[in-house]
Amino acid sequence: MEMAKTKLIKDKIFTIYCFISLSFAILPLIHIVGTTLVRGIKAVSLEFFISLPKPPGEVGGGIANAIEGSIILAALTMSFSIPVGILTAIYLSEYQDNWFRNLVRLLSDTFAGTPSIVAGVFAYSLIVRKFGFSAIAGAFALSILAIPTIVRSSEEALKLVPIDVREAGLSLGAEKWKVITKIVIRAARPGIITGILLALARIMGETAPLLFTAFGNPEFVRSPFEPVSALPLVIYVYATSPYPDWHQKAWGAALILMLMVLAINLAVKYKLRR
Amino acid sequence: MPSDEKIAIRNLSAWYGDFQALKNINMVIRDRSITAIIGPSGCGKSTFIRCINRLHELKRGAKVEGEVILDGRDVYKMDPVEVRSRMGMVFQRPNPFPNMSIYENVAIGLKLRGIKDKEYIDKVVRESLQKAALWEEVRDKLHELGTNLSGGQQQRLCIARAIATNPEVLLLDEPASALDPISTSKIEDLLVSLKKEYTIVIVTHNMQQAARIGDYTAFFLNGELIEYGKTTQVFENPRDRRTEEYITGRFG
Repeated sequence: MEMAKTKLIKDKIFTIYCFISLSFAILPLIHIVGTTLVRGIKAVSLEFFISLPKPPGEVGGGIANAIEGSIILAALTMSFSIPVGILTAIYLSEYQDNWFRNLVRLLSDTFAGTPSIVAGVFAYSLIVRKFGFSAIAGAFALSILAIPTIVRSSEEALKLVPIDVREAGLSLGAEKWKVITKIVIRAARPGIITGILLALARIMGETAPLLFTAFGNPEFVRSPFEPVSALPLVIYVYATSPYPDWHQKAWGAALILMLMVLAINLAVKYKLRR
Repeated sequence: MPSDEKIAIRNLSAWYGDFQALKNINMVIRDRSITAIIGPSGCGKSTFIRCINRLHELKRGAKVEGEVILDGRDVYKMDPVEVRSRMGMVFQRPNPFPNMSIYENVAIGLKLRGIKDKEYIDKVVRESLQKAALWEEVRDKLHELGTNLSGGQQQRLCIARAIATNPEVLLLDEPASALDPISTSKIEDLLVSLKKEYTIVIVTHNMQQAARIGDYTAFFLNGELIEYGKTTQVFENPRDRRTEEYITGRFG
């Protein structure tokens, strides 16, 4: 009886420890989300979404340029990263083992852990110094961050497709590339889409690589070769400005960015559950 | 050459790296009949049928020597894609293509060949599912996922998928080993009805199954073909002592 009681108490203590640790992990998060929600909501209005910013110091205006910029950057980045990432993953998972394949995998893993500012510096020296700030340069920097995530998750998803699915495809008398593109990719589709969404959620919030590539722009853009604004850039610039109205707008932009990332994460959850 | 000869195997040997899985196999598979391949685990019977449709060579370190002559032509001198388009295969574990409906699973073989005529595809899907004795069970849910069917239904779906492209030969690698007795007997009945149209080679570890449905039976042991003949002869009057020992359950 005594033994059983001691065990029960130990069990209780352990549970309490877990709960305390959980509080440490979750309380700052709740605080951030709560503050962003409370302060951000005050900035949000129709004008906030559809108008351009007013000159510094003037009250009013919106961040339509940053919303447009973030969408342009995400679209450019993804239209480049998705095909490159998936085709790389196919090479890694579907073709014979060799030293080159291992090298690609090592590079891809290394890139996945590279600080994002390094991607920005790289894009700056390669593109911006020759052609100036542009959405293309920003998307290039973001692609460096997105591609390894897409490669990694797509490769894992492809590897989970049983070998006899490939053999069944081949035994129907189809060429290998057709089996891969029509059957194997389809079987791995949920995992691949999850990886793409995770990469998207990551690049949406990146600030550092955009500072010296996309640069920012108070106007709408007409071509991807112009500098472009983005939500994280607006947050950075407005939050460090001396104007209270801009501080509030930074909170508003943060709220919108947070909701976008939340939406992407919910999409991932939904995809994974199916 | 006898007129009912469909596939002639000549001096066929196969390796996985240094391990020789098949040793100089010679046999003739007859048209529109069921040939059962029996033998204990690891005797090379799966490797044997995977050499017929050239799947074996895709494994790393795999090697094949000898000839597999299909209607007078060596498949090892043909384009493997052509070889496989003339042979359907059904695997041990039911493996409908994931994230594809029942309909798509049967239609995919035609679509991969560039056939787009929807009416024709509809007709083939229906006929293939009927031949595979699955139509009545799935006709109202053709657009549900193939992987949602029961194990036995999935295997019949795989048979429908394999015959939709109208192959001449049907290769089955222990197709009923993962199924319950009722599903197994359905598959057996199905194969007997299919032999009117196809040359069927079935690998099985189940001797009763070979005896029930096989017209011919081949007994493999340690990569060698020990005995091959009419099923009745192999089971009732084996010529080799090892065959007799195996079918009477003294080993394997």
